[in-house]
Amino acid sequence: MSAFWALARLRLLDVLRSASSTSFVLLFPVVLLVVVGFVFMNGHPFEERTIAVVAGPGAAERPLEALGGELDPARLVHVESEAAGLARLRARTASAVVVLPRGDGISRVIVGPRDRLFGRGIAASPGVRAELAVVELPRWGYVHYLFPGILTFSVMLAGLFATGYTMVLYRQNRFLKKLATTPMPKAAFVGAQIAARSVLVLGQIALVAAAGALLFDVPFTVVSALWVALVSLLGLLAFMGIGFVLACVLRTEDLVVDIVSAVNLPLVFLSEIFFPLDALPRPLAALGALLPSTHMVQLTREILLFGATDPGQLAGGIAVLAGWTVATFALSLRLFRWHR
Amino acid sequence: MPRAPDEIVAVESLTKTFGGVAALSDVSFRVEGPGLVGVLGPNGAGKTTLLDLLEGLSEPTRGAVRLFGAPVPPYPRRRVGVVLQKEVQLERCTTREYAGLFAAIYGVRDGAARILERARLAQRASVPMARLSGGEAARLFIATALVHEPELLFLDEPTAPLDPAGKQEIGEVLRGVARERTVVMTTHDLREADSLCDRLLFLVGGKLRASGTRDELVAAVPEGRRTGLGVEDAFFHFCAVRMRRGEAEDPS
Repeated sequence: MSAFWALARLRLLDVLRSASSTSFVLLFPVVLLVVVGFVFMNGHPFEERTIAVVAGPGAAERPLEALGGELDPARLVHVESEAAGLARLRARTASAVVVLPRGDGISRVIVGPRDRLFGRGIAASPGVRAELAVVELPRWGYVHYLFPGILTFSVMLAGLFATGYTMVLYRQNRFLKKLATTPMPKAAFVGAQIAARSVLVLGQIALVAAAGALLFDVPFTVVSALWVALVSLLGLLAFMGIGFVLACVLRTEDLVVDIVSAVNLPLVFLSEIFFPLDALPRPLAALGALLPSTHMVQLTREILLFGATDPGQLAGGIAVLAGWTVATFALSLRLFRWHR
Repeated sequence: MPRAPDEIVAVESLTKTFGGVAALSDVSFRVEGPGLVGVLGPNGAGKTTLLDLLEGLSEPTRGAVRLFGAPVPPYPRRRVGVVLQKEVQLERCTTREYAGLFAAIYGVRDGAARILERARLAQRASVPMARLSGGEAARLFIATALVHEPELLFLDEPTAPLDPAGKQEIGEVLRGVARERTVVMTTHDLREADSLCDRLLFLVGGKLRASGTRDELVAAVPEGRRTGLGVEDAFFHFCAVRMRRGEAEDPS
């Protein structure tokens, strides 16, 4: 067995032999999903109503202007097709879909049963001639919206703590110093940490996905599951890279725990985990748009809720995750010292 | 310093400072051929700093280290074995897995079995290493450091956490190891050094006070100052007296 595999196996066994570590990595995300899912199954109390507008070529502009006059324009989101609008409706990222007519035709307002009154209000707005259609929606729609955020949050914790905490622990218990006296290559050591954590996180993703599909009807297909696994592993690498940089800079376990916790909270609020970026003040939204966690949430949401599986559609977000991975690992390999 | 044909370790004017404070000052010595070399000194004498430099874990502020006649760096990791002070205890790792890791790092086939056999721990292979006794753990660490059959072995206070029986047991192991290779160990136990070491280096306050074989060092103690304690007499002759002189000469 090579040093890489021996160390990866040792690291994996170290986690699996600890009931608390295993529970944290594998069971905590499932518990979080179940709790948050049931608490927020009907949406959260600060939910803002958003209307998905479908305006094909030659669509009438007057109803749109009328809607803009009645509502905050920021609450109007343009989507490409009725199908895309309905996907948003199912995921509770829109409260209504307005399909604009060509010429002087009649618009269509589509809502779920819960928003029937809201739909009637839109249809009756001055300048909007519309007919109302009420469609059945999945019971767990808001949980579907939350699912990518919970998955990202779990992978983020696993990644940040995996390298951050473990490396400082290894430094304190002198394991790094011991390895420094051997011909163990730095890259093999780092690679072994990544490999061990990736196996654990794949198990974590499988469990959360199974819980999401079985308990909350999260719409997984084979293709979307493979894409979600790929995006999660890329996200894990980016978070591990950040944890690695922290471990190179910080010296004690306590400080790593404090800093990772301090970093975690703003990441949760800035990463679309619970609510969209455009619900945040503009500077915070701009900051959030740079974070790997935001891109992981958005990619997973696009894949799972809006059916995006074309590499071209996902390339931008994947490039951002890859960029974070390369930058953080390059920086940490520069900062890394076996022994201080 | 001219190179001897069987030179294993050579240290020339080695100095290491931390924030302007010298942990090691102008230390020079040479070790040739197999045998057990003891670096003796009280806590804070600079023993671990010296070993860190010899093990390639830190770089000297001034001076140079030569191993097997070649300057360091590059460090000949495959020819050197190391046992650290307060060795690593991986809490949930078994004895076999720990041995297997180091066998894999050095690419030694069946290395784990060889380590366990050498450490006389084959029956304890499945036990978490944190549950080994002090003597068992020390045997494991020494056997692990020897898995790739290095020509040179460094040990930093390997017997410090052991009871007298454990010290004696590990002492015998080290004597056996030193028959075929060069062993450099630090200790602050003068009696242990007396019974084990072929050659001694007295290190106090980061300075090398004396070096030589046990008999050479004891013979250098004036007749009237000898109390029959061997290395202990020599250590206090070379170190304590000079320390007192140093203090007397220091106006501060």
